[in-house]
Amino acid sequence: MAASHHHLDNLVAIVDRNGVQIDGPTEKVMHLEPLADKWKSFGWNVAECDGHNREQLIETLKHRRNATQPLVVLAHTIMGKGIPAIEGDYRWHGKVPSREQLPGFLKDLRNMHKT
Amino acid sequence: MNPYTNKGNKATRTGFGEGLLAAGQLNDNVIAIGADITSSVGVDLFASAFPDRFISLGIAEQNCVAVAAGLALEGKIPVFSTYGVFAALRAADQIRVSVCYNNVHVIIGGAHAGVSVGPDGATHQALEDLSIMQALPNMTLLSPCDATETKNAALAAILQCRGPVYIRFGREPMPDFTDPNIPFKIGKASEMLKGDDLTLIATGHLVWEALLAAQILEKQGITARVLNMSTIKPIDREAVIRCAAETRAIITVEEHQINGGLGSAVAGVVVTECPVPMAFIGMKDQFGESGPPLELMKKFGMDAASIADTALHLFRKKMSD
Repeated sequence: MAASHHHLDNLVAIVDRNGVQIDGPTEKVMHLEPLADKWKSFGWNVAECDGHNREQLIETLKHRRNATQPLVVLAHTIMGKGIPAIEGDYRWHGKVPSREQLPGFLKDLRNMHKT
Repeated sequence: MNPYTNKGNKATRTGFGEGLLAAGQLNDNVIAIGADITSSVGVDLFASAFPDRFISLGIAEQNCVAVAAGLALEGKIPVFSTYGVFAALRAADQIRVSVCYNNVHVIIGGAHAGVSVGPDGATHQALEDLSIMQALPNMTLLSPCDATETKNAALAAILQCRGPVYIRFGREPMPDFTDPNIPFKIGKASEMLKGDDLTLIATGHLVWEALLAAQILEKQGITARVLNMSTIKPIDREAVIRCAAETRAIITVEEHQINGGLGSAVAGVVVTECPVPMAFIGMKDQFGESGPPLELMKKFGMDAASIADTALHLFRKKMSD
């Protein structure tokens, strides 16, 4: 509200929109959608991108700014991306892998970065 | 020696969850409100047993309190629990105006009390909630010492109290040693250990540490009385005056800022009724940090050895006066 009122065109907010919180999916605990419309109604310039795609993110940050409004980027992500046993599972909010799980998880991450 | 046996470490938040569930079984009007983190504050037991009486409102504590006040005005018994830092601070205005000013029976569970929260660090360690809640008119403020007492305190807070109640409890499994058959009496301190040389007035997890400190002092020939101040407001004035008059030295022990918490409440009684030397164990106007719970309690001077050390100094002061 204040950011758009004062035309903070150099302000950028990035929302890590992974869709989960500690009790479960955000849309089940307390739904947030339509999130883009909510930001728009507060006077923000809204952009969306794949939060795991660096090129898309850079492109959005470079070219979507305008001269009058603050920018919000809704970066769509998957919590625990790259580790199938964790991906998108809210039960991993704030949880640390065990020593036994660690080697397998690190292998998953290395494989993701190879592809 | 310590006359109490630890039945096994258990988190006071688990005791709160059990008390809430038991209250829900006894009274259909009990409704629980969740602000995310429901399993973390022990509300999941109730939510699974009574899904129709559990309302998920998301991470929106101010709204949670406003909804609770509305439910109470309509005759329900709403219980809202989240971390103490969020309940007591973020929603302080709604607790003051919607709950306390209306004097409605809303029960607020403040979890994650003190530095024993551990790794979650300063942002999640409630260290100012007793001060803020204590200042509000009509508020009853409970701070039970172990999981068993927390269960009984939750039952009493929900089913016996009138008006606003804040009940404080912790995260880490800690010694569970009180008798489950002793009902919780609001406004009554309990004498855990007899002693004549000084009194340790403790609250929450630190009652156990105070009992251990009394053992250390015993080896030095000092008998310390230990009082469990499980209600901070209304404070048990009679018990405080009796300890001051009979032991002539008081050390308060709390996992909370020394400004405005148990120490201030006790000092308020002592200076007006029976002035004696006092010392204060607690956070000394500083934030906590991330670390293992027991190490943090030691670092901030709240473990048995630190309590005994402070008590010894006060005892010498008393004897030299």
